[in-house]
Amino acid sequence: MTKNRLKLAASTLFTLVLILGASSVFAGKLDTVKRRGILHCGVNKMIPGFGFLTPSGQFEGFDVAFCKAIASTVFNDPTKVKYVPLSSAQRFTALQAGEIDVLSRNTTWTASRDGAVGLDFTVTTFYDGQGVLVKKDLGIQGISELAGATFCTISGTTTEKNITDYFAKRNVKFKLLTFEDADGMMSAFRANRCDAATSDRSTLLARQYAEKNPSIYVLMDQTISKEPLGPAVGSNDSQWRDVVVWTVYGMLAAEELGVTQKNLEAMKKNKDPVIQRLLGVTGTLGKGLGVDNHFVANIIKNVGNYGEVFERNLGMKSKFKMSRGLNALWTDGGLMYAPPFR
Amino acid sequence: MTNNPHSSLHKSEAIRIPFYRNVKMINLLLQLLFFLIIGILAFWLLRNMFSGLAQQNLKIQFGFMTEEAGFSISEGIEFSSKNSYWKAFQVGAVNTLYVSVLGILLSTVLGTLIGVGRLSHNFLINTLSTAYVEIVRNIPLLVQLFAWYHVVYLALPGIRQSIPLPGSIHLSNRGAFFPWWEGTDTTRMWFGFIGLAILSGIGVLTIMKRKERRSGLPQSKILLPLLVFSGVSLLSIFALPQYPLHLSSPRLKGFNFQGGIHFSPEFMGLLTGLTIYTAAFIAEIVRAGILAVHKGQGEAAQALGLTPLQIFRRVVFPQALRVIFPPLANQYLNLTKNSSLALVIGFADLFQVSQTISNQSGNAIPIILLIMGSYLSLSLFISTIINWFNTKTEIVTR
Repeated sequence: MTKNRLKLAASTLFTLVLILGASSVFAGKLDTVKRRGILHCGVNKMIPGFGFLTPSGQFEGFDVAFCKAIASTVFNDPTKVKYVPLSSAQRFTALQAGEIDVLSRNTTWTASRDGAVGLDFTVTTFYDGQGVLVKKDLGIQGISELAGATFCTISGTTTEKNITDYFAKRNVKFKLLTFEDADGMMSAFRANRCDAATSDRSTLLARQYAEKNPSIYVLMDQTISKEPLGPAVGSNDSQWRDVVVWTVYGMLAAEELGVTQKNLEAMKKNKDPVIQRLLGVTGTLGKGLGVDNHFVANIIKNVGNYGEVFERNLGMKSKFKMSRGLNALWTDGGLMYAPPFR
Repeated sequence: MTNNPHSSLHKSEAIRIPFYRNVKMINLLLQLLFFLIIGILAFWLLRNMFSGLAQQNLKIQFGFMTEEAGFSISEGIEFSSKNSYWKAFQVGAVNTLYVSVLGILLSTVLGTLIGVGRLSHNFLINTLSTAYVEIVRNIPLLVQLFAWYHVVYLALPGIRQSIPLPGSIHLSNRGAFFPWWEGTDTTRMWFGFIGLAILSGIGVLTIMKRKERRSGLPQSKILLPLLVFSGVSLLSIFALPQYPLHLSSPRLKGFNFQGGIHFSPEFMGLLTGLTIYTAAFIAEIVRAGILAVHKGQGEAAQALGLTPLQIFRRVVFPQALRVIFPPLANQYLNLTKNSSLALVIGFADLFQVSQTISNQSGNAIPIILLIMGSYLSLSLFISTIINWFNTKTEIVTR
């Protein structure tokens, strides 16, 4: 009896030592994701157009499309994604802890987040700015008229600081009420708990259209900050970061070269060497990144190019009817520019 | 020794028990092994954490707390965006303390009333109290908080249509605005007089106690000292060149009311939710405590000719307190910790402010440690107070 107990204890100890030894092996994120067979993608679930959980349980939106694109790059299968809905306050910890592989959740690229927070930003996928949403009957023309007013916003975002800076610069008092998520912010704003809601313009616009009666609200023309939004990954893993970066660039380059979901097969036979390299017909660009050589073709087949994703989720094919603005290609006067595929 | 039936074992020392069959030895070894496993497990987890942190280039340090916060907080003690993260953390901690202390006081009063109500022979009071307890404690607190905030307080009319109540109180979905006293130049002097009033009250009390001990006649020792105290503190107001306090009434100015005291809907929602919820549990504890006192105690007191009120106050309740205190402490701790649900209704408590700091500074782990440390010390502080009360009510044994 006692001998058995001792044996049991000894084997437990041995197992523990084994675990101790094994835990120190470090693998890159790309290998981890490939081995796991599914991508963990941190998204929003409350902003229609960007990241939204539909009543049928599907995630959809602009940011969600990039999760699908990355899954296409790694697995050639846009369904191999596990979506992790996160609040603004949770998102960085989730990334640091390795709970998610990539954060595609309308996150602003800032120096402190890139530095102190310990994440690496990849590419800006959406150029945004902070705006202010008010009710029409308030009769306000500009943000500066809102001195002394109460603002509702989402906790743990850049907007808290921007609005504080904006009024501090003008030496004006105001009140800031922070909520955990966009739903909390909007329901307090709807109930007149605050005079204005402030967040990224895209968020406000999307939420305005989700209201029962959008026409009683007005999104003010002024923009009080720069908010470049894009996917972020954990620090110090350049191979994984490259995969995400070139996934986005591939979608931009495809738009620039006129490669769409519809004409993909025809384009594969195109004589243009640039297109041939992009789609992996020639060259070894994909292999160099550690993924399928045809990864851009796979993204286009499964998700579409940047322009298609934009139009489907935010642009003229959606209810938001956003214009491309700064998010147009550089050739059309926007800021979207992909380095060459060669 | 010779009568000991086991003594024969001692004599035959030739049979030596191997250490692995020696019960004492086995127990000792097993305990050692247990500690070793726990130690290895703890070491492994910590090592894992530190190597994970190192991989992410994160360090556990608190230096960033002195940096400028740069955001604003909706309520609490004076705070500007130029203040440090530490100051922001303090604002949150004070708000948590404030709502917890008020919640503990209010829920104790409400809970005691309902607990006694459940024992009432009056059908209406009894049924209502039972219904209260059964409904409230079976609905999650989070749901109740949402309901209080969104359905009750935010459903109040807007600020410009605020409901005026008697005494210059205004109620709107921006909160409740009450008139409040503001200090003047002579406030400090008046506080001096109040100190004097307290001293004279205590003086009178001591004299009365001495007198009681000498005469042996019990008498009420509350009225006279209180009268002396309030007399001195009130009369001193007129002795001062200027009234020490000035009543300021809230007035609508711009987007908000100015003057008076303000309770935000977030604060009221949280306080109401916590109070109502915890009171249901306290009611059950009070009821159980009173029922735990043996029936014979009350009957004996009755036989001595005590009135029903005297029986409750002098015999039943003091004994019930012994049963009530320990579980009551648990409820106080629960209330304090539950106040962190403030996050969902936007009240700037310790947890909510810490979340903001964590995100603005990017130091999640130090902040989590700070939050845990704060709630731990807050809970220990509350338990210490309750334990002190508890030892005072315990049966004195010699």
